[in-house]
Amino acid sequence: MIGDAVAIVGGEERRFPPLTVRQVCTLQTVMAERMAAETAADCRALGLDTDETLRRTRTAREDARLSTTLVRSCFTFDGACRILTESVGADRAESMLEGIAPDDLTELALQTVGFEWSADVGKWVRRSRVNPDANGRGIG
Amino acid sequence: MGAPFAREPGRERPRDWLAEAYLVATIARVADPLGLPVAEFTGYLEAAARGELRRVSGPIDTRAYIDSL
Repeated sequence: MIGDAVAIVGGEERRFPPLTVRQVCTLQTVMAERMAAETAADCRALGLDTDETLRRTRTAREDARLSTTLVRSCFTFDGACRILTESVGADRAESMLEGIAPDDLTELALQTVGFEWSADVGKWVRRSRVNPDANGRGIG
Repeated sequence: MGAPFAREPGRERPRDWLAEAYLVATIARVADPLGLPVAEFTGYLEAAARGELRRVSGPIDTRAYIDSL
C-alpha cells in the first residue's frame, strides 16, 4: 500500500494522497498544452514561419509529457503546488498548502508522484509496491 | 516515475500509460489500473517483468476494457 505524504504544520497533520496514474495523465496533458501554447506564442513573437512554429510546438508538447519533466517540476514552487493541488483537489488546496515551507512542498510533491527518500543511498528514489488487494481483486 | 516502457538508449520517450494499463489489467487482473497510485502501478509492471505475475484465467474482453476507459 502506498501511503500519503504527510506534512505537520503548527502541530496539525496534513495528508496528501499519492497521485493516481489517471491524475498524472491529466497533469501531463495540462502541462503539455500550456507548454505548447507558450511556445507557439514565442514563435509568433519571433516571426517564425508556420512549419517551424509547428515543429517547435510539437517538440515542446512531447517534452512536457516526459516523466522527467514532471519530476523536475517538483523542484519549482509553481510545479510543486500544481502537483499537490491535483492530489488534494482544487477546493482544498489553498488551506492545505498554506504555511508549508517551499522545501517541504518539493518533498511532498516528490512523494505524491512516487518517490521516497532513501537514507541508504542518500537520495530520492522511485518507489514501487504491489498491493495484492488493489481494487478488491487479487493477482491472477 | 519514468520507467518500464521508456528504458531505451537515446532520447527519453513519454510513458505509454494506456499500453501499460492494459498490461496491468490483463496480467495483474486489476480492475481499474489507471486509478492506482503511480508507484503501485509501476510495481505491477516491474513484477510482471520479473516474471512474478502470470495470467491464470481466460482471455479478457479487450473491447469492453477499452470502452470502459
